Amino acid sequence: MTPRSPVPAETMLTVLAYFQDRGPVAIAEAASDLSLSEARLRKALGQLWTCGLPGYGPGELIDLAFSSDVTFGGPIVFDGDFDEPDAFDEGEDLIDTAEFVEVTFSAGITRPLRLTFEEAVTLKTALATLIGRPEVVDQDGLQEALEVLGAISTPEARLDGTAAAQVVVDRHADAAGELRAALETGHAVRFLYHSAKSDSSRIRIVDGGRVHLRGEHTYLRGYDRGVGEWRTFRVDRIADVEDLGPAREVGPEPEDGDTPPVAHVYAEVPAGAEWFLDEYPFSEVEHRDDGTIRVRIDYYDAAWLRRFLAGNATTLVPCDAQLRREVAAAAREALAAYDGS
Amino acid sequence: MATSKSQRLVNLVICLLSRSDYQSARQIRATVQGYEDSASDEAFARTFERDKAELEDAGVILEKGTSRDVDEAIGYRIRRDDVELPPLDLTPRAAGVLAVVGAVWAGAERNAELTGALNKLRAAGIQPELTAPVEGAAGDPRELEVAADLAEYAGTGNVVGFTHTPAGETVPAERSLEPWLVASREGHWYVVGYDRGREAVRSFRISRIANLRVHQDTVATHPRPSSSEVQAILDAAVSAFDATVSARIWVARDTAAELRACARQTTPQERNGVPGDLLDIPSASLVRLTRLVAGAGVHAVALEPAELVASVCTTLRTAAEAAS
Repeated sequence: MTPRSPVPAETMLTVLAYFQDRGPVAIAEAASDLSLSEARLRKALGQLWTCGLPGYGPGELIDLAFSSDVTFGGPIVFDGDFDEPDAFDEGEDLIDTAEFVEVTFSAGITRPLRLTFEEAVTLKTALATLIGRPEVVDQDGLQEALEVLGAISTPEARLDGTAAAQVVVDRHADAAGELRAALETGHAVRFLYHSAKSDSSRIRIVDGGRVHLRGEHTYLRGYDRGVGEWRTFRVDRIADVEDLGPAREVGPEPEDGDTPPVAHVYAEVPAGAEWFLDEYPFSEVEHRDDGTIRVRIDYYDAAWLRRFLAGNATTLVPCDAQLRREVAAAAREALAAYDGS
Repeated sequence: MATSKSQRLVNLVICLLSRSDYQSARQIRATVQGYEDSASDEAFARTFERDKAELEDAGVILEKGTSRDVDEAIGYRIRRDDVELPPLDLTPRAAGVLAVVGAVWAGAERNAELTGALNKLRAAGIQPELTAPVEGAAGDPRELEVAADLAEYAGTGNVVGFTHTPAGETVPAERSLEPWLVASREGHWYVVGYDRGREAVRSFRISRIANLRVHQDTVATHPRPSSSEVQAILDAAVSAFDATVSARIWVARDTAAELRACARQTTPQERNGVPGDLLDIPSASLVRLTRLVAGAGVHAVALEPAELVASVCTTLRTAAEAAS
């Protein structure tokens, strides 16, 4: 009876190639590099230990060396020789407890397998989502990664991202790239922030910043020196970034990242405008029989809500009559500027 | 101790990699640890076929040739160059990008494929390390899943079916497409291909696609244009979905922060006695500018282009009429 395989063969081959030419490696480090739990890595190594070239004599089986301390006494504590049952038990034991492992003979497996079509397509797709987002990754490095992947995966993967970055406004690209460069060195940054929430443009200084991705938008989360609190900034509203050198020490970040919305209103999306639901993350969406959609809009700031409703008037009508009248009055006032056009 | 299936497969790979001549199935059965359990010739043949298929799924192609076995002419070997990842020369900058992609797409629908790919690169000695703190998720995991599926089918020349709800409509329509290209533009994924039902080239936004499935028995037959031609088709389609315009907009002092964020140049200018600035916006979405200008009310006035002025007026008129 063939026993169940605790680890897939592809994983075992990747594990084997990983240890090639590395010398003793800490189990914890290898597990983290290979996205495996330590227990699973130990299982994979245990399985590999009895694999090898046909013949299965000494020098033909995969050979592992285990150690619990790599600095004293050298790595080789046990050299796998399976002829004696006692030695085998000892080997099993070592696999479960050793802290370091070295593959001393890999039976000819020296490189990982090529990426499968599915793996290459997935990696390329995921990489392509970062095109045009210089605040997240260095765009030259991204192009390089995509080119190298093109060379090691099947050419049929017709996935393109190369021309996708043309639409980025130059000034934003500069600001975003400078922001990322400053954060990479752990520095404080000063920038001009155009806040949609408060509709103001002010200089901010942020320590301890890090990039936070949420869907298609990128945010900078960090400690705002001016207000003395942790704040979140949308990166495409940041301009004129300046590296201020080493950041100041910042206190612990509060658990609840964002201030909860203070209020909400309901509005109606007319029949036929369902695509508008893609454009904004409404907290409630109710499809009604007549084709209209009732949505809930959470907001922090009453002025922001009025701007949002007026700007999306063709696809969003507030349910509250008073709010509708206020938005209409503001729109009529604004229309005066276009008289005669 | 009995040999597990994974061990048998590893043994088979090691065996066929180590030999330059072709090994017959009979020779493999005799030498590779794990096949000795087969109860009969038929049982062995079934197991061996399954193992070959499984290895091929993992990208290990067994090459067929003539073996030296006098009783069995067909043999197999694995060519190192076909299956091994070639040497990779990645700068630390590009490796850093791989680390970011692993972090922001962790846990997405295609996590297994993504970690599989990154693990192989790590096993090849590449050390993707995060240089800057990054967290969060880069997009809708479902969108990535569908994009990657479509890219696969484009590569294999399959025909796919799906339902698509176009912008401005509510009823999903059934489509049959020969996919050519999957690409992202301005943070959204699109697929371009030949629509068999409409008998025309079409582009679709992937977030509006549902119920994607592959038509197993059909292959793509429509001639596929060159990659650059398909790109041009997509660019034209995307700008029809949402035109990119360069604009001039007046904004009152200390207002319209989001519009200011789009501007390349800001010049102080009064308008009817109100202090403010003239914004020069080199490139932005017409839809987005319309929303921002109409939303700003009296604080922003669209000056150019005429299409922006027209769409702002339409939005404002709709808002003005909604009160009744």
